[in-house]
Amino acid sequence: MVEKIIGIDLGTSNSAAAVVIGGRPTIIPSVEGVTLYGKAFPSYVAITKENELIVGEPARRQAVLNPEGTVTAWKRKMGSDHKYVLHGKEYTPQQLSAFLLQKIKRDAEAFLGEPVKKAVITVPAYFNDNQRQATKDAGAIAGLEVVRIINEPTAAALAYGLNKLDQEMKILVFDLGGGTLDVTIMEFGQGVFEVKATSGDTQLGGTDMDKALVDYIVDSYRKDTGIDLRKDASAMNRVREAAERAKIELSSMTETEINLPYIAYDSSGPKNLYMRINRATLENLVRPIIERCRTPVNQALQDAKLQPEDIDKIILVGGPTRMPIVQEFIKEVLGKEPERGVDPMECVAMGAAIQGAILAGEMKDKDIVLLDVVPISLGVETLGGIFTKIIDRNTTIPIRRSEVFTTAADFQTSVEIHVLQGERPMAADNVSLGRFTLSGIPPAPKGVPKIEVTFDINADGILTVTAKDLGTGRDMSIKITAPHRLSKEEIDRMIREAEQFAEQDRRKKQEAELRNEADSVIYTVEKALNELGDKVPGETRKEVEEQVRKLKEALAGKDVSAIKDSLERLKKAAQKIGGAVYGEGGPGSGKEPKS
Amino acid sequence: MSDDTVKALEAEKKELMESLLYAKAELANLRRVMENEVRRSESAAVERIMRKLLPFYEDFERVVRGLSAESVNPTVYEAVIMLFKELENLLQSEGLEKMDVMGKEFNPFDHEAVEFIESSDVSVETVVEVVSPGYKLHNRILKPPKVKVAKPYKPP
Repeated sequence: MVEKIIGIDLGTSNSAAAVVIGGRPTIIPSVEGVTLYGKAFPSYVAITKENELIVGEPARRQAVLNPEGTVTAWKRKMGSDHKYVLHGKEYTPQQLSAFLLQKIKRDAEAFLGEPVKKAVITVPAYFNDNQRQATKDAGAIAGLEVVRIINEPTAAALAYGLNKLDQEMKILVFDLGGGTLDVTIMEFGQGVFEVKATSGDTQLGGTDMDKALVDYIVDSYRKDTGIDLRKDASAMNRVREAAERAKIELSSMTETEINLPYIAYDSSGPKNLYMRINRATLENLVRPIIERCRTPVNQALQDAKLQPEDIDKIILVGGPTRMPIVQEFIKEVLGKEPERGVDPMECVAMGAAIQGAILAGEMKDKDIVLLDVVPISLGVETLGGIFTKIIDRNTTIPIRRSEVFTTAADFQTSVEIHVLQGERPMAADNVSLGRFTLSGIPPAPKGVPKIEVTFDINADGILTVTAKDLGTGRDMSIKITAPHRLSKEEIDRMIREAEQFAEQDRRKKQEAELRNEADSVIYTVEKALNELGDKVPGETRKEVEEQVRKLKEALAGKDVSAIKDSLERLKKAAQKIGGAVYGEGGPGSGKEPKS
Repeated sequence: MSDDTVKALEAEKKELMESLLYAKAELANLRRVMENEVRRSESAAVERIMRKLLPFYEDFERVVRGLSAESVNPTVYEAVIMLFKELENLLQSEGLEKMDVMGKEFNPFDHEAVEFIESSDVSVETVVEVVSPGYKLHNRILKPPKVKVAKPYKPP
């Protein structure tokens, strides 16, 4: 078994870790469970009076009681000579990081059920050699071999698989955390990420936004009732929790309610807090804070000697970037949509884990799993113009899938295989990738030949479609290179269209299926009439033939309900022919390739 | 077949066998992790819904505590109490347990301190007020209680 190399995002106030399992980066939970703001390990270390060491979430929980023995945000002093004094004993930032890394190592071992000895650790792009070496040393103290130090923005880009795209590009990473903003501009080319510029603000983040919302709620309540909740710790705690919930809800909804019954008491009895907050209110509250991000972004562009339109990809990192207003702000400043799909809280740790897996030989440099799926469904056109999916969207490659089809007409000696990609049920609405004909099928009644169609996508994303006549063993194939080299915009559009046209498409498909069924019933009935000859009483024959004629007429027209009715009447009439014929089960069921 | 070809094929076979073994091992590992993951995501689902219900339950409790039989219609009073009990039973049957921490020695693995006072009445750090109650779900802490702690007062 390959030895796992875990990825660690060693943050100022919170840290996270991930590991690639079965080709996918997975977040490592702490034994205490996930904490507020999503990252599992608060960057806190405490020494108690009894000289006990406490790390992570429990250390955070006792910080109020033991301020002289608790430390956080030591990352800001990494690489310096600064010493922290906890209950009379000195600690270097490296040692404090080591305590946290030890805890992460232990919890990772508990999660994986195997020893963990190696790690990739991320650092801010602006860290100098000293600071990087200090981070490496911290790993060594913790008993972890730091196989590589990588930049946080590079890790984020790896999580998005940007290194897999075979093109040069300029990437802006906007990392807005709880208390700091880091803006990094990188250039990617020849498999290397190069930092062009960094800027930021060490006193700007999500905590400021939370505080603005809490202040608003408390101030409005005081204006309405004259009651000041700030004096009541328990009430303030309820307001903070409700504000956090409201903030999350307002990311997906435009309005929410805050209901806090019995939040306070006065001479007349208990008082409730009821407030409606809409997204616009929240946005007005946080806008001044978000506006402060503008200068660092412009500064980074200026330092890199770039214009906003030169940036090819934008990556958002950090919990506050989940807010729609932050995303809109970035779009406004840079004129481009940021990348989507990876949790902004997790992407740095995930990228570090991917780098770890590459170094462990578990993953090849190019196969970043996050993109190693078929982005759009692949399939063939079948009778009536229906698109029959063979490989569904988001299937992981390499993959091989087969399906058996048959002919649509008697004595058909060739079938055309029309390969398409798309999400819409009708072939005509999807994108054609190629077509080929398999000929030399021995003449037989329709539905008898068995044609196996195989879709095979190899690890490089090359699609080979093979059609094989199972009767003769003859086969034909077509190779389609990079069938899914669609841009992200194209993919999004195709998926959007599929949703938009779902109802209309469903009707079209139903109509095509109804027509197929009608054709097949007519075929079966006519065949039965021929074979049974005189055994069918004259009256019945006449009636059935009349219904067949009517159904054919209906099929020539466009009235779907007329086809449906005629088909039902024919089925009913045909029953009179007798059970013998139907007992055998006629051909014509199942799917048939377009002839 | 020449010796060289045999050698080449043998080497190739060895390589393939090795990669097959790796793939099998990885699959076995993946299966084990997946089984854990399924269990974890099951409890995570319960956890998620419990987290959403908690504020509602706490507010309900507050309202019930403030109710008195005199101020409202007795039947309505009884009905509200019944509903509250029902909700409480339901949460308990799913494994939710309110933590009883008043007067206990403070422990950062179970409690979160938000305030403190100094007191000569205590000899160890002691929980003297619950600012926000804590809950366990199946014996694991779902939400730690936020507490006010009395620290032993040491005369200067």
